[in-house]
Amino acid sequence: MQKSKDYFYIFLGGSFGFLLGLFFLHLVHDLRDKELSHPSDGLITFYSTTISQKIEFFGILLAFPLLGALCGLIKILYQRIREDKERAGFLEKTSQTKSEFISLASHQLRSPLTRIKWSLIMMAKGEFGTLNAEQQEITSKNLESSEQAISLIRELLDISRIEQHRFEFTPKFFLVSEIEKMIKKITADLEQTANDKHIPLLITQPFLSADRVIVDFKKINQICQNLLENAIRYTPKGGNIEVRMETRENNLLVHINDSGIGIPQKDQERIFTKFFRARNARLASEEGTGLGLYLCREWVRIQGGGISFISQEGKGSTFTVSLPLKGRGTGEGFLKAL
Amino acid sequence: MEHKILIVEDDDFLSGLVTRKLVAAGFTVSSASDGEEAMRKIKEEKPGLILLDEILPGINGFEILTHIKKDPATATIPVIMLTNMGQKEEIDRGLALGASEYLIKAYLSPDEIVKKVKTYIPESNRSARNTPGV
Repeated sequence: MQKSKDYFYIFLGGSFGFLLGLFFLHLVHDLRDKELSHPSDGLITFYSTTISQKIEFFGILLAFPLLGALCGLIKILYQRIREDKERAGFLEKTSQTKSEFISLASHQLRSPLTRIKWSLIMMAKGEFGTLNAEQQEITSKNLESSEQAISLIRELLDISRIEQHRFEFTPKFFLVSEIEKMIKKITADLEQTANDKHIPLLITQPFLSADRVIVDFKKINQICQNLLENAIRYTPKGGNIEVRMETRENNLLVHINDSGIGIPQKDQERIFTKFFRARNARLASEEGTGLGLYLCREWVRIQGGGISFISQEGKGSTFTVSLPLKGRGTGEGFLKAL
Repeated sequence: MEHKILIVEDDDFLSGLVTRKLVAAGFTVSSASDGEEAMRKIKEEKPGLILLDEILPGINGFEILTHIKKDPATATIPVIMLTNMGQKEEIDRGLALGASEYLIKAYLSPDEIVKKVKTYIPESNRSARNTPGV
């Protein structure tokens, strides 16, 4: 439909040009006749003209339609640009409305979820009376669900901010040893969950580096926590998880290695895509929104770092976060070279 | 020793749960469910700590916070913003207006709130501004 409309404009331009050409030619001949002071009968004299006049005749009849067609083409291009601009404006407005909606809806959802979460916590602790084993189990399951819903809202809010380019980053200098301390704290917090699955959380090599990184501490904390939670979630009972840090070529590398289910080869390309969960991950755990890795990659990128992984289905995965030391080197580039 | 905490929260259910926990921890709790009631109770009761929500009927949390910090009689009362509005701009605004902390309800448990409150009460005691008779 759009194409036939385009052709119509070109045809219209060309036809108009042709008519204009004829008119112009007539005018030229009239003038020439007047100059030569012997009247002729317009176009009929064409047959008695010289070769150069014939070239002029065809030239004008060709040039004018071409010029007309070109005008038609310019009109189409102009229209396209205008439509694109309108579409971009509309999309931007839609995206903004969507983000505002997510933001508002998130806040409105948090309130009832807080009620549910707080009352379930107190209920699980027996503060409203002792629960039997079945009631205890149901309460715990519901509590988990409410926590998941709260996490999902948080992730959606984070994404909406990233997509609006409204980042919440306060980068500061941190010693690498402080990052190590932070990782130790995360592993200590997650120890119970890992213990329930008989998975030892190991941090190898005490890492006493005096190097510094410029990062948003909270975001780095969240990235490491997301990766460690994933490692625990997707590692079967009795597996192993190891966190290792090193500095290499002006970059701080944090490796999180697990002996979990791994990522199938065909899913590896899409693993950082929003809402994507690998086939085996969906089977292994109902939990997980498919937003964690996407957010990790965005956050680490914004801080000048990079994230990569090596994985084999059924054997495990190693995720590596790379952060430039003291602002030297770029994590992303370094990971590509690995 | 009793320490009065003022909870400014329009959700009576949440306010009730926190009150229950704080009372069990030995605090005296007073609550206000809208801006006007909060302003009146702050003036009358001079609480040792205020847990302040942001979205309230009438005067909102930020306006209350501004009033608290402007009035020399109440300026030193520690205020913890306890809300479900957690955008960076809101957090920055709350802290800039003088809130001691900005906490998001959904990320906490009632026990964690009690723990937080406990860290603030001794501080206010040390300054002795809320001791009866001062």
